[in-house]
Amino acid sequence: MKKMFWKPSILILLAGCWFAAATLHIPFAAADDARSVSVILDKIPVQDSGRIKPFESFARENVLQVTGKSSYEHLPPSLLVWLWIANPDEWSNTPLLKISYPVLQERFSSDLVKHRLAPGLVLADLDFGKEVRSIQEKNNREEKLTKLEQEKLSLYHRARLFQAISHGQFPGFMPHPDDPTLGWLPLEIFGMDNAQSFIGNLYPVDYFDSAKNAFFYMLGRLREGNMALALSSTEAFAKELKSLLASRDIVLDQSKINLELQYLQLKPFRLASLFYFLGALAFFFGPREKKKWASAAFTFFVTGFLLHTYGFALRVMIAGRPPVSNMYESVIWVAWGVVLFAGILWLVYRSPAIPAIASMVAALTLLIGESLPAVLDPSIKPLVPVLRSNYWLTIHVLTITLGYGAFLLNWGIAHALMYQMSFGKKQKKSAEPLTEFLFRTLQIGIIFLSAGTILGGVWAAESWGRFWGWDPKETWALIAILAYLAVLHARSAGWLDTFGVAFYSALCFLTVIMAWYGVNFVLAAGLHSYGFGGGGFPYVSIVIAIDVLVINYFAWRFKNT
Amino acid sequence: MKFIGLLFKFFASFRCAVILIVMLALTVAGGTLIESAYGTTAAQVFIYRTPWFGLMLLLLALNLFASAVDRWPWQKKHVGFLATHLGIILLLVGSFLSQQFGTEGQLTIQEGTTESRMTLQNPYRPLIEVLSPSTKERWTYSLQTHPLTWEGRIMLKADERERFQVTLLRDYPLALREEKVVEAKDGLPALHIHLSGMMADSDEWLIRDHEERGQILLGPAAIRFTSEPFQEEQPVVKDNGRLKFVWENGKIVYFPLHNENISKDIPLGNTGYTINIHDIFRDAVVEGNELKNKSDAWRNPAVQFTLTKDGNLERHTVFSNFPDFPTIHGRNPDQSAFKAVYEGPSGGGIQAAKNELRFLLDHDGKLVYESKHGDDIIKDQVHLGESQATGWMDFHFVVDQFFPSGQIEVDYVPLPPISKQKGAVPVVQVEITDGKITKQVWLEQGIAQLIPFGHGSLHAFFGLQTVPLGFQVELKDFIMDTDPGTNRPAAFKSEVTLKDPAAGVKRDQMIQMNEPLKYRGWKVYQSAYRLHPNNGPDISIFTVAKDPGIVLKYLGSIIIVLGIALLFYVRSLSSLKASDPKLRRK
Repeated sequence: MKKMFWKPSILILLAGCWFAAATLHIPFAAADDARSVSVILDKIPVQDSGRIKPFESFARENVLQVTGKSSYEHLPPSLLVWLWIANPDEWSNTPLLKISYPVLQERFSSDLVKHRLAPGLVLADLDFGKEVRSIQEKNNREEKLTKLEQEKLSLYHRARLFQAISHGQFPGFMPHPDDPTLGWLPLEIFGMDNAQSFIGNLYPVDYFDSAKNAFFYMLGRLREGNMALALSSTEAFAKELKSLLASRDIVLDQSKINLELQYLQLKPFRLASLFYFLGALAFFFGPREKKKWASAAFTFFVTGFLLHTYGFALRVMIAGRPPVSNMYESVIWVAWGVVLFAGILWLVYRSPAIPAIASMVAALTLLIGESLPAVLDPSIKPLVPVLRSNYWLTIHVLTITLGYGAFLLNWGIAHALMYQMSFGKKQKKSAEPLTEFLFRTLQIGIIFLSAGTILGGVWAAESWGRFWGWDPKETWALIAILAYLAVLHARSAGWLDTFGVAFYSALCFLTVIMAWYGVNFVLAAGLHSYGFGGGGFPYVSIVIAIDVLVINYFAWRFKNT
Repeated sequence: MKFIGLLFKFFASFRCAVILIVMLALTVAGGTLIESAYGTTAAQVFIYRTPWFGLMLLLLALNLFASAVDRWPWQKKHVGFLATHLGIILLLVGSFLSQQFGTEGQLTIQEGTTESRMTLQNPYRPLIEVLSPSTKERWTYSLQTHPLTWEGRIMLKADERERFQVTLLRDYPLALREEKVVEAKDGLPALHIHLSGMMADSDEWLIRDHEERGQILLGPAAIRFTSEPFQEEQPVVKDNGRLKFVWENGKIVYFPLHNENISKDIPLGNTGYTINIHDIFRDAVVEGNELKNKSDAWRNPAVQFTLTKDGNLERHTVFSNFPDFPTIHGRNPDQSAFKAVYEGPSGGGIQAAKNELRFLLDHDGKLVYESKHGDDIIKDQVHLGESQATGWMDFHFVVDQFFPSGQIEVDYVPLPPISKQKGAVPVVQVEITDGKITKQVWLEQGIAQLIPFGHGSLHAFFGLQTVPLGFQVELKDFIMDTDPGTNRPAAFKSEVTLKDPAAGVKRDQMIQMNEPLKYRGWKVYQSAYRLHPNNGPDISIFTVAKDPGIVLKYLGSIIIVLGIALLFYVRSLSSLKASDPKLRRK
C-alpha cells in the first residue's frame, strides 16, 4: 500500500463537488426569535398522510412540494407554513412556486420573479384552469400525459396544495376523542361559524374557545411580523391546544414525536456522509507512515458508520417498520451495506484500502441519496399493503439490497484496482490484495443476491401461488446474478485476466443499477409497482456514461503502457 | 464416438457455461424490454413461452449436468460445486413440472354469493363460443392470442363438427370502443355540437330522444336534443304512468297508461305491433304463480301486457322498480327487438334544468333551439357552423353537423397493449357464416353478444376458459382497512366459507394478503378487489393455484444457497483456489 490510488487533483475536484452540493441544502440560521417560534410550533403533533408526525415534518415535506425547494428565503419551514396560515392572501400573491420546466417558464414569463410564480396567479388564470381540467380528464381516463401536461398538472396541484394548507384545511390537529384513527380536525374548524355546535360533541366548548382565541391571537402577532411578540402568543397557543386535547384525556406519544424531531434536526445521513468523506480524505491523503493519520481516518470512518446506524435505528423506530419502502431508504441501506461489508473484510484482512474505498463509495452514495429530494423522497410514509407485516418479505428485500451493497463495494474496489494497474508501477505484487478483495466482494454479492431472489420466489409462491413469473424486477435480479457468474466462469475459462475481471465486474454493476433503479424508474412494468417512480433519469444516464468512459480509459491506458 | 466425447467436453467446459449464461442474460433482458414496451403477454409469447427458450434452459441444464459428470470421481472438495450446480438442475426440473402440470385460475366472487368455477389464467389460448339459443347447441373455437394489434384472416377450428365457420379478422389486445354517428336511412335525427364556456370545452354528438346520447349534463345546466319543447312541458306522467319502449337503434316509443286504454287492442305507434294492456298493479306481489295487488299504494308498480305482430304474441310483465328484470314470458328475452320500461306515476318525464339548451325540429324538419335561463326562454333557428350564445354561464355553442337521419356506428380503435387507459378492452372481430348468411361482429372479451342472424339470432362470446374448482367458496364479507385519516388501503381481506358437499366439508376462513386458503392441493390467494361505489356488495378476486413443482423448487433453492455458502466459505468442501494467507495480517 505504498502508492496512493488517486491523484490529488481528482480528490480536490471531488471535494469541491461535495461541499458545493452539501452546502446548498443547509438552511441559513434565521433570527433568534423566529427560531424559537418555529421550535415551539415544530413540536405540535399533527395527523398527515396516514400517520402522526411533528409539525416540522409536515412543514418540510410540504414546503418542498409547494415551493420546489427545501426552504424559502432562509425561513425555517414550519415558520413559513405558519406565516402562510396567518396571511394566506398576501402569500398567495407572493412568488413561491419554483418553475424549472422551460416551456412552462415561457408560458408564465411575464409573471415570473426569479423563476417563481405566485400561487394565486396560477389559480386565477382561467385559461390555465381550463387546460388543467382537460388534462385531469385525460388523466382520469388514464391516458398517458406528455411531459408538459404533467408539469402543468403538478404546478396546479402545488398551487392548490398551498391554498389548502394556508386555509388550514390540513393537516389534522385535533383527534376524534373516541377514535383517533379517524381524520383529525384541521385548523380550518376555528374559523367556521357553526363550529361550536359540531365541536360540542367532541370537546368541552370553553376549552375549544380558548384554543380558538389563542389561535387567532397568534395569527395576529405573526401577521405583524414581530417575532418577539409572536413568541409568547405561540407558546400560549401550543399550551391551549394541548389542554384542549387533555380535556378529553387524549395524550399523544410525545416521545415518538421527539424522536422524529431529533431525526430531522440531526440529519444523521448527511452527517455520516460528511464523516465518511473526511475519512476517505484522511485515508487517501494522510502520510502512511504517521499513525495519527491512520487512527484519525478510522475514527471518521467508525463515527460515520455509528451515525449511519443510529439514523437508521431512529427511522425504524419512527416509522415502526423496516426501512424498505422506497428508493431513498434503499439507497441509504445499500450505503450501510457497503460499510458493513467493508468492516467485516477489514476485520479479516486488516488492510486500510478496504475502509478507504468503502468510505469514498458510501460518502458518494449517501450524498446522492440526500441531494435529490424531489426524486428520492426522504419523507416517512406508511407501507403499502403488500409489504405490510410480513417478516419474510422484509427479509427478502433487505437481503437483496445488501447484495447490491456488496456489489457497490465491489464496484469501488474494481475501480481502485484498475486505477492501480493502469497508473501504478508495473509491480504484480501490489495488485494482489485488491484482487483478493474484488473476488471476496463478488462472492458476498452473489450469495446475498441469490438468497434474496430465491426468498422473493418463496414469498411469491406462498402469497400469490407462483414461484417465478419473469416479472421484470426478479428477471433483472437474475440477470445481475448471471452477469457476475459469467465473469467468474470466464475467469475460470481463461478468457479474463485480473484486469479483465475488474473491468467486467465494474461493468456488471450496470445490471445492478438496472435491477435497482431501472426497473422501477425506467421500465416501470411488473408487480413491484410500489417502488415505481419517475425522474432522475438524466442524472443516472450521465453518471453511467461518465463511469463507462472512465472504465474504458483505464482499459486503454492499461493496454498502452 | 470421438465426436460425442468432444461434444461432452464442450458441454462440460467453462466456455460453454459462459456462452449460455450470457445468452440467457441477454435473452431475458430483451424479454423485460419487450414487456415494458408491449406488455406481459408479448414478453411471454415472444420469449418466455417459446420452444427455443425452453431449449436454451435445457442446454443450460445439460451444461450443468455435464460439468458435474466431468468431475467424476467426486471428492469431498466437490461438495460445494455439486450442490450449487445440481441445485440449479432441481430448480429447472421443478419449474418444468409447474409449467406443464400446474394450474392457475382466477376466482371472482361477489359478497353474499358462492362460486364454484374459476377462469383459467391462460390468456394465451382464449376461446370463442357460439351458441344457438333456439337449439341450445354450442360450439367452441379456440384461438391463439396475438400480443400485438393484429389484422388478417384465420379460420378457427371448432371442437366438434361445426355448423358455422368462424374466421378471425382482427385481434386487438387493447382497444377503445368508439361510436361514430353516420348518416343512415331509418335512423334518428342527430347533431354534432361544440360547446365552449368558462369552465370547459367539449365536443359531442346528440341524438334525438336517445337515452345516453340525447343529452349533455353539466351540473346546473343541461343540453338536450328532444322532441319535447319547453312550453309543452307538463307533468308528462298522469294517472298510471307510461310505458317506454327502447329499440336497439335508440328509437323510443311511449305508451301512456290511461285507464281508458286498458284491455283494448291499440297500435303501438308505427312499429307494427299491437298492444293490449291486461292489468296495472300498484303494489305487485307474486302469489302462487300469479301477480296480485297487495295494497293501493304505488309501492311496486307493474304492468302486464301483450304485444302482437304478424300473428306472434308476446306476453310481458314490467316492473317499474326493477327495469332490468326480464320481462317476457314463454320466449327468450333477447328475441324481443326492444326493451320495455315502465315509468311509474312517480318517475319519468324530463325535468328541465335551471339552465338548459334544447334542440328541436320544427314542422318543416328544420333545426331550432330553445334556451332557458331561469324562467326566460329564447328561441331561434340554428345556424350551422356559427357560434351562438346560450344566454347563460357565458356558454357558446356551434352546431357543425346535422343529419336528419343518422345512426351510431360502433368501431374499435386499437391501443398500445400497455395502455392503461380507462375503458380499454381486449376485443376481436370475427366473421360468422353458415354458408348463406355472413356477419361480421366485434366481440369484447368477457361479454356475450347477441347477433341477429337470418330469422333467428346467435350468441357469441369471446373470453377465457372456465373450469369447475371441485369445491365451492362463498364470500361472506370483504373488508378493507385504511390508513388513519386517509382513503389509502392498508390491508384487505375476505371472510369466506369453503364448502365441499361431497366430502361433507364446511369451513370458515379469513383469506388475506399472504394468508391463502389451502384445500386439496389448491391454494386460494387474495389478489384483487372491486368496491361497490354505493355500499352495495363488493367483489373480491382470488388467484387459485396448484403447483406440482413446488417441492423440487424449494429443495433446489435450499441446496443452491447452501452450496454457494460451502463453495465460498468452507475450504474443505470447495474446489476454489484458496486465497493467499499472507494477505491476512495477524
